[in-house]
Amino acid sequence: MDIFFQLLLNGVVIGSYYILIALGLSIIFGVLDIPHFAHGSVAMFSGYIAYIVVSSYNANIFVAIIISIIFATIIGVILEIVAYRPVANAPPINSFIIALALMMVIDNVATVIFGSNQVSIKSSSNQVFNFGSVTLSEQRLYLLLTTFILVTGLYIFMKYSKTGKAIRAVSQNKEAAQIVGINTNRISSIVFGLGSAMAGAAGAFMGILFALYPAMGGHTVMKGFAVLILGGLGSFPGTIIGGLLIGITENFGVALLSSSYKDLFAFVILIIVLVFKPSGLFGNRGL
Amino acid sequence: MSLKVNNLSIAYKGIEAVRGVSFDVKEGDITVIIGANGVGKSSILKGIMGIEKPTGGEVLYKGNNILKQPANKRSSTGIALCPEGRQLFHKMTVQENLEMGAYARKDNQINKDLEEIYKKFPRLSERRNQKSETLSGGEQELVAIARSLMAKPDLLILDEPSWGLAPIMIDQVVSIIEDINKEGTTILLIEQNANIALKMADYAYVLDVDGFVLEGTGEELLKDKKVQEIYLGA
Ligand SMILES: Nc1ncnc2c1ncn2[C@@H]1O[C@H](COP(=O)(O)OP(=O)(O)O)[C@@H](O)[C@H]1O
Ligand SMILES: [Mg+2]
Repeated sequence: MDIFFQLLLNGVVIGSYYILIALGLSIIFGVLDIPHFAHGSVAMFSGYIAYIVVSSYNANIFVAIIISIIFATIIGVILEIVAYRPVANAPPINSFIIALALMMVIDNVATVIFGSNQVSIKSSSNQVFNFGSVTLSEQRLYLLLTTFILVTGLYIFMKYSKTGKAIRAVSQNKEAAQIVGINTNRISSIVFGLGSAMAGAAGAFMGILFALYPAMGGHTVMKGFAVLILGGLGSFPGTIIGGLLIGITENFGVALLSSSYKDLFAFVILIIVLVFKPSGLFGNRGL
Repeated sequence: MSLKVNNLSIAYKGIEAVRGVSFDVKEGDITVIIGANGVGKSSILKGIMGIEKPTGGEVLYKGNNILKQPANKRSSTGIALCPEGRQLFHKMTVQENLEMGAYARKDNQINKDLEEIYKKFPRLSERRNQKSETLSGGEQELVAIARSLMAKPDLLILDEPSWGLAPIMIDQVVSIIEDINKEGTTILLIEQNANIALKMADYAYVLDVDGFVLEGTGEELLKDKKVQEIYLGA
């Protein structure tokens, strides 16, 4: 039984990572209709920045996480302005191609700069909490807490703040948003900044809990999209349930079957859900 | 003069939808533009609001050429548009829609105005926490009008507010617009329903594909032979 709870907890931890990634993809797609394939690459690159800050400057991991978040936010805003905005009114295929190209460029630049070997971020303290025989490392707890805080914060921001309402307005009716005086370019930048900030946190934790390698950008974003579609495009609770479901399934799948199929489980469960509910678990758009 | 449009042209992908139209909206008036489907009425409004970039001409509001300002500054200059087809934020509540109408305002009277609006539109007050997509078509039109009023405009532009409404609802919308005008707001009303629009008009223009073909007071146009034939089905 303990092994069951351990797997469940591990699943929730990895699910948190997917939630952080998928929420960014979700608001970016929900508001701007951009399939931001470079999102995982932003997470990866920011994770490397956190790695450098820790390994070269001996920084505390919290400082590294914050620097990673700031770095990702800036990169996200730059990508929006420089790469996506020029094609904002062009056919959707243009931003699709640009997104793919950005993913490849960032992953390749990372390989050139950081090499293709895996690295991980060393923490100075390694406390482990025991609940019976179920264990949770200090760092994993931090990921759970960070995810909880960012998700709750984003939810409150979107629901109650003036800017959050403006973001929802743009996602629901861009023209009406312009009519009431919303600067839609500014909203696009904010959305990219917010979404990328979450990716920055995710990237740093990937380095702290597991390992960083340039190709993880592509792997991560595919998982992120799987979560998004599983949960139902644009649904906040759907993204959270979807992330947890994929994280948990993956952990049980690996334990019960084989780790060589690790990346398969997410897509098997995705296909099963879509067969029965084509719009995803909470399908029905609307932030 | 509230609004003065000079030689405004708008094109979509090189195809001209509006060819050099000029018209005036006098302060305090209800000015009406009637015209058949597809002659460019809504495009003119998109040009005025900065949603489409005009290919030529100027739009003077209280003497300033507003085309030089970014689109999102339009509503803070005192112009509000109640767009064709309502264009509500469908997943937002009625109240959130109204709050969005006041988005560009910086003053602290917004909550007070919201309560005023609810007094004026009791139906919306009852439904303030309901998502706007769950409302009937008539109620949605009221939300759209109320949302544009939340901007506290000096000039309110309405694009076919009678569209798709039951006759009893049309009467209500007409009297709401007349009330808004009596309280001092200048109105520019776009309509295909010439019969109701011309009765409200202080001054009116008839638009067809070649531009404005007729203008005059509401009474003059109601009596006009051509208007009666084409737009009033007489
Ligand atoms: N976004 C658009 N892209 C291309 N053509 C458009 C667009 N909007 C309107 N048009 C065209 O411009 C012309 C005028 O349309 P519109 O301004 O909506 O007319 P009205 O409001 O008088 O019905 C029509 O021929 C219409 O097909
Ligand atoms: Mg129209």
